[in-house]
Amino acid sequence: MLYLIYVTYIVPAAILIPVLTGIKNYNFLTKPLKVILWFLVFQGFANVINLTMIAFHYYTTPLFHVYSIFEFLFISLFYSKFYSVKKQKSIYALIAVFTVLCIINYLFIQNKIEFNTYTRPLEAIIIIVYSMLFILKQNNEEQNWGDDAYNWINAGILIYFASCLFMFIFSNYLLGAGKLINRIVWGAHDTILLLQYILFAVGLYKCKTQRITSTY
Amino acid sequence: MQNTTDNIYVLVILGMAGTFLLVVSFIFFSIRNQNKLLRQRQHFQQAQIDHQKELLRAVIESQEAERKRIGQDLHDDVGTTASGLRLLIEMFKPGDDVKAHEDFTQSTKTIIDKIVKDVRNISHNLSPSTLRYYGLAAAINEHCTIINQSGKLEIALVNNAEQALEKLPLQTSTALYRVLEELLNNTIKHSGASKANINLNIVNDMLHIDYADNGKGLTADVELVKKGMGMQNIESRLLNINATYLLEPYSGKGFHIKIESPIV
Repeated sequence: MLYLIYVTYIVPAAILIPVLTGIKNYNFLTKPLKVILWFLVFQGFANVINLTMIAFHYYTTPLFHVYSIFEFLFISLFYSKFYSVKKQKSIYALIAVFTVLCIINYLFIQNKIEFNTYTRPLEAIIIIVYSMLFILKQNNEEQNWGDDAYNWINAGILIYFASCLFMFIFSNYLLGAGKLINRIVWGAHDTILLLQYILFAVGLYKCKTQRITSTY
Repeated sequence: MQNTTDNIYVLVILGMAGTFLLVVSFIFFSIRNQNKLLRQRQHFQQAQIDHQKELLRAVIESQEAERKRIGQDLHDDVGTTASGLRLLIEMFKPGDDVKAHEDFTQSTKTIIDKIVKDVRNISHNLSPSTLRYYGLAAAINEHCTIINQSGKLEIALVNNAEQALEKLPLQTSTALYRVLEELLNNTIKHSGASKANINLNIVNDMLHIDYADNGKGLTADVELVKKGMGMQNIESRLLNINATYLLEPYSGKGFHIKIESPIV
């Protein structure tokens, strides 16, 4: 019971923490932080749709195929803001290629009741690379780590995608697993997601002390 | 292939836990590293600012000392002699005595000559005309000759950079002249040395000045010496012309400094 309340209500509702923080500080938000706020709003809607589909006993797996496309879009847009126009164009091309791959995967490869275990881990790996490149770039900044809002956002993204990579890879196996295993894995996933929301909230709160990060 | 009995779900959970730990530690170390670097940079910058302040303080203090010295020279030499002259003129009562008149004329001339000489000495100290008209080599030579003649110190000057010194911009030659003047002053005042050597050479388009004396030398702590006003004055003058210097700490064996200055 407690587990169900935690997974069904507490964690999805926790998205309101960063969203409300972001809305409160909206005037101070930089472009990358606005992308993150809109991503959170999108994620909130996706959560509501997911929970509604579960309530009406629909399979939610197709939702994940569509969700991955938008998730990758938002996060790529976030990281693209730190690079020069030339590099931004490469990221846009990557978004287009990934979207096509997701559509092909959904229509022709993983078109049954199954998760997108080919494209989601690929997405996670690309995002981990984005995140590592960002850390490399931030190492040159002459600022306290905690004062930079982007560091908190990046930490949230890296922790979530790296930790859940194994889960993304094996999610189809989990469909056939017992209740206990599913509860442990999804419980862990939701806890990491909660941590990501908290880190995002700190990032969106810290935007007032934000400095301009160089683009190169 | 042998069938494995591993439970894939346990492996997933272990994988997630392991990666989570790895990523969190990575972020933690990255934070620690970045903050440590930041602190180091801040310390370094602070040290640089402090050093600049010290140099500025030394420049201001030396300016004040110079003003005080000029004031004292004017007061003690020119001022006193001029007062004496005034008194002499006041005391003089014109009469028919030709001898007394001649004596008076002679005395006033002597006093005026002294004033002229004093003024010339003061202005020479302020801005040596030899340096302006005949270059650094002549100015150093002249200064060394004056000191040698005074018997306070025996200076051996070896100049292997005659041509290069002629091409030096006035700003550079003035700075180098002042530095050598300061070094010679230090030797006379503090070192108790009887001899000093000045070698001027050109190596790889750089003017190398080797200055050494046989006095008591520096204390072992070079940093302490660098904090002294005289050395800071020297350093700020050298910095201004992009020159570098190296102090050799060998206490008891005399003082030795190597200066490298770009010619152009």
